[in-house]
Amino acid sequence: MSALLTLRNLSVTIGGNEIVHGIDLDVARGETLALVGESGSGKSMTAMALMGISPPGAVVRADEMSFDSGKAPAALRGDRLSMVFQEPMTALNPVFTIADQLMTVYRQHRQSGASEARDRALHLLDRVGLPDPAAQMRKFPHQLSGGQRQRVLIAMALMCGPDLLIADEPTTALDVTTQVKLLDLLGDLQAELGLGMLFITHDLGVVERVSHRVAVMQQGHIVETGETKQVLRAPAHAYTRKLIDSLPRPRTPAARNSGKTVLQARGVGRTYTSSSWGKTQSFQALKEVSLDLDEGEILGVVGESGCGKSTLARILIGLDRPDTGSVEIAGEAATSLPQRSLAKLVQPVFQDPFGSLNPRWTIGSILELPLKLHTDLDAPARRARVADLLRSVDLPVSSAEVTPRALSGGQRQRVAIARALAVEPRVIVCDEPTSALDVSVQAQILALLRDLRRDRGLSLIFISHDLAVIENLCDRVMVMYKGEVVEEGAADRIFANPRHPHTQALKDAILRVEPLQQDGLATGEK
Amino acid sequence: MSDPVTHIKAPRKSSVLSHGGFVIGGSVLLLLLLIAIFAPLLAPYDPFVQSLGERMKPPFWHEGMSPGHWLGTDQLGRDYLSRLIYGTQISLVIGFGAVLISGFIGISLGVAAGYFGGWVDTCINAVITTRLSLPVVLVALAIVAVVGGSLTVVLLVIGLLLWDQFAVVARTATQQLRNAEYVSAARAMGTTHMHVMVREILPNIRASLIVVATVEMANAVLIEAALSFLGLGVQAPLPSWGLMLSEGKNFMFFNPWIITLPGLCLFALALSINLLGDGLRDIQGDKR
Amino acid sequence: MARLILRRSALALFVVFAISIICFLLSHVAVDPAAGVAGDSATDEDLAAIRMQYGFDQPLIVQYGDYLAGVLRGDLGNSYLSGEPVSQLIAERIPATALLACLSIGFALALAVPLGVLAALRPNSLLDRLALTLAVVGQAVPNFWAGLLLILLFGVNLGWLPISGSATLAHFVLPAITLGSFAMPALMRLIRAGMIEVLEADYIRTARAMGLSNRKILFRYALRNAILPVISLTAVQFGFMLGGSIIVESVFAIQGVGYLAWQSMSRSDMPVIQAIVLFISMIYILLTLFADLLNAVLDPRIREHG
Repeated sequence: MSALLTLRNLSVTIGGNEIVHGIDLDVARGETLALVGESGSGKSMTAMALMGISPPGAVVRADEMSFDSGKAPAALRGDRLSMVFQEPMTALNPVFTIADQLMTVYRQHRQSGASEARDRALHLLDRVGLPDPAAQMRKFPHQLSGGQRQRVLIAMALMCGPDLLIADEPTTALDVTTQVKLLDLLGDLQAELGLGMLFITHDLGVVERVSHRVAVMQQGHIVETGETKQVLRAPAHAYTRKLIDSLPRPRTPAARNSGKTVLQARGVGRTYTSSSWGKTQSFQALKEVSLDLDEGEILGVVGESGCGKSTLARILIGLDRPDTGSVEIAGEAATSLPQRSLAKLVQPVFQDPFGSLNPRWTIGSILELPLKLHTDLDAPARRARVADLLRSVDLPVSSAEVTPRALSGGQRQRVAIARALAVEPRVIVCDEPTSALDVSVQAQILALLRDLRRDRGLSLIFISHDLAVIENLCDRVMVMYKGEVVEEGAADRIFANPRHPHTQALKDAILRVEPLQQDGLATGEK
Repeated sequence: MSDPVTHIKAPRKSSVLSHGGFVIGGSVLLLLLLIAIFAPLLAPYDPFVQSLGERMKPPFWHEGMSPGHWLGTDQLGRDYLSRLIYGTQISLVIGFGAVLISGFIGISLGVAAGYFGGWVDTCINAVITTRLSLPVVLVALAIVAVVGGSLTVVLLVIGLLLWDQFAVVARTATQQLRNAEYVSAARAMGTTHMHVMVREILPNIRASLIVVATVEMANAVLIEAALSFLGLGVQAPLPSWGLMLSEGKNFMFFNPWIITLPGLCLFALALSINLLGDGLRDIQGDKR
Repeated sequence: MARLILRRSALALFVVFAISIICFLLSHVAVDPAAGVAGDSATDEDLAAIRMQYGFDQPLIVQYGDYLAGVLRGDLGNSYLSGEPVSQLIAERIPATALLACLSIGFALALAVPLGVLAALRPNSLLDRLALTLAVVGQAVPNFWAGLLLILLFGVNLGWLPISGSATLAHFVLPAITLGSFAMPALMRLIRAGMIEVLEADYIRTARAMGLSNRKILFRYALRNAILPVISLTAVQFGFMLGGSIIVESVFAIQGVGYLAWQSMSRSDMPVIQAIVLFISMIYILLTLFADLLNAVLDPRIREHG
């Protein structure tokens, strides 16, 4: 197989900081090379540098950057090599139609007439699996879903028949079931068109599924390269080993407790209506949802976007009131309590570590607020409690003096957990608390939650779209789909023997990587 | 077993003083502020005392200047330098006063509208749109024509009319933050709406509002000058720079300095305020 | 789309009513209208007679009703000073003010658009710094002072342009520059900021990745996206010019609506003052309504969600 893309000693510097330190990469015709790393590893910068679209002020140096023996890749972008990005919601121009954007690309490189471009666009929209391509052509981006937009972007990348496709986290922002469909589509296209692919991702499961070879990147260096199966079964570098070990693995759930129920929801329903000028639209976010949570138990709630899990979370926390049904926490009717009292029973931990702490407050004052509101402690006593809380989430006591800007994502989530613990609630509701974190940091936070449950007898409701995390952390699991609970059961059972088709679909969308044994080798490989 | 976390990033020292516009603007404004405060000590003459024998004397760079009157005298023989010095008081009182009044009104309305949404937002938005549709200078002139001009009237009128940008910016910024997770966390904790608006949201929109404050302060100064120029603002014999321009324009063809100097003072004040505001905006942008 | 038009029009209607109430209060409540009509030398009997004749003794709500009916008919009352119908006075002076406003906004845009776009393409370059300096200076200069200086420089010392009156087009050059230079900075900064934001957007990155030429990206895509907020601001600035022209018109003695306003205010001619306020407000409301609708036409997202 001839080399399609060759990079030698590529380095990228921005504002005096070297982001990419002299890396080497090869992609052959018809093969997929995965470039995997955590946030800040420089993988996106590498792709943008070789395409010639680095941010202004970036300095790119390389001994060799050649495409198809000798040509500069940057000059051929959009034509012989093209790129698909991560955020489908913003990657298309909102004021132009799909047709316009697709055809413009083709006519830029091919100097063709409008009808030829239109035919090509229609053909590709069909090829990427969009129903009724002619109708899609006339639409604007905001009229399409995330998955549909990503398909359009893939079509756009293929308009000029490239030899190399660079995909930068193309499925990270999508639901797992959509992700699996898009990965299959990319695989089919590669086989049919003989495409070479450079697939950038942080997800080892994706790497296992789509790539022939993989390069592992850490802080601007490539630490390991090789055949995917080889690297993932018998990693040579410690960092690769750490990445594989950090992946959440299924665990045996804790034995079901005395059966003392701490939270009980019955028939909870919530419908959103919006009316303007006589036209009313209503959307039923939750339809009669019931759940039980025992003391000391971790209940997982899993589902895709639009299934109602966030609405359920908001209702349990008290930020929203249900239209029907009831919620009881520790025997009290939660839906009729004033927020001040409800807060002592249930507290949230949110998803976005960069948004859940007020950037203008110090960590100390953030943690003191619940104490001020709900306890009679005086200032010195409060500060002592703040120090205790920080210790219990493994943060140095000096963190109380700084603002959130000084902390990393994982550290901020620890503060969020400490804040939830401050009032000593009976239940903590976690809404995707690790989804925005690197996999190694995620592993630490999950371990922290497990420790806190063991030491304090916490009861947790853990909402996530990531099934591997749910299998790792939760005792029982509830699967939601379109506002209803479709299946419920013990964590180890529910994915081994799914009963509902949606659970089956979620299970099929899990991308597995074999865990490593004690000697650093994957199980099942001798 | 989770790893203990020991490393925290040190906060970056701010580079406030390295921003040229901010420094220049801030220094000039500070200078003018000091001149206003210490006017009685700095001004060589009483600005109201007329000296009919010394009328229309030119400043020191023309021949025929009168000793002691460094910047000449006006058509009634009053010392120009002293009148310019006392003029800073008027402009700065209007500037700060109007911003305080309009800021309070505008920020309260804007935050309430952005936070509560719904019919509160609709009502306040209607009020804001009404105010935006009024031609400010005309309405101010009309009110002064009815009520009579004075420093207090001008201050109140400008303060009660210039709150629109505060309200618009506060409303938009609050709408963006309304769904921030730290706001949800505070509400989940059981805090009051007032706490959320004042302690959680307001500190985070402070940056844009300070920029609006500088823009409106410059506007207030220039509007007062315009009103006084048209004879419907601060009344004679007060040394408002705008009024001095109006009085001087009848003589400007042969004594150009008489309109150059007060205009330069207005320009300097407005420029320094704008530079300060731009500098603040840039610095805050860097910190993000 | 239809819902959007309805909603905006309803708001506009409400605002028009609110302003008409304000104007009504100005002319009928803030001063004694009878005194205005009668003049300074009226006796109490004269005042009483005038009140009866004009209906000033009716309840306020009735007076407002008459006032509103008059406005809809086009009857804005009569000037206290000259007795002529106000609507006629305004109509005679609209052409001058309209011409001044158009020339001013044209001048402002002719400078703001190229400068803003060029500055955005090369942020922090010499050109960018120059443009921003120009903007800051332009915003800080009091426009009546600028007018006086321009008169001295171009009218007197150089003698190139006439400085007073509104007889020929040349008479409008200096006033247009004076008025336009106040609007230019805000427009330029908005264009620059909007372009910078658009150029950093994800969809522009997609276009670059697809190999589109820089020229095509700029003129076809970026400008199209960045133009939206500029339309609204231009409408707003145009409205400001109609209101702010009072200063420039009085400095340059242009026989426009603004000059009329100033003359009336110096003499407390209330019917004229409130009519001008009402008139200019309505033009401003129409302008912003038009700008909103234009935005909806250009931005498909607004068409659907308002």
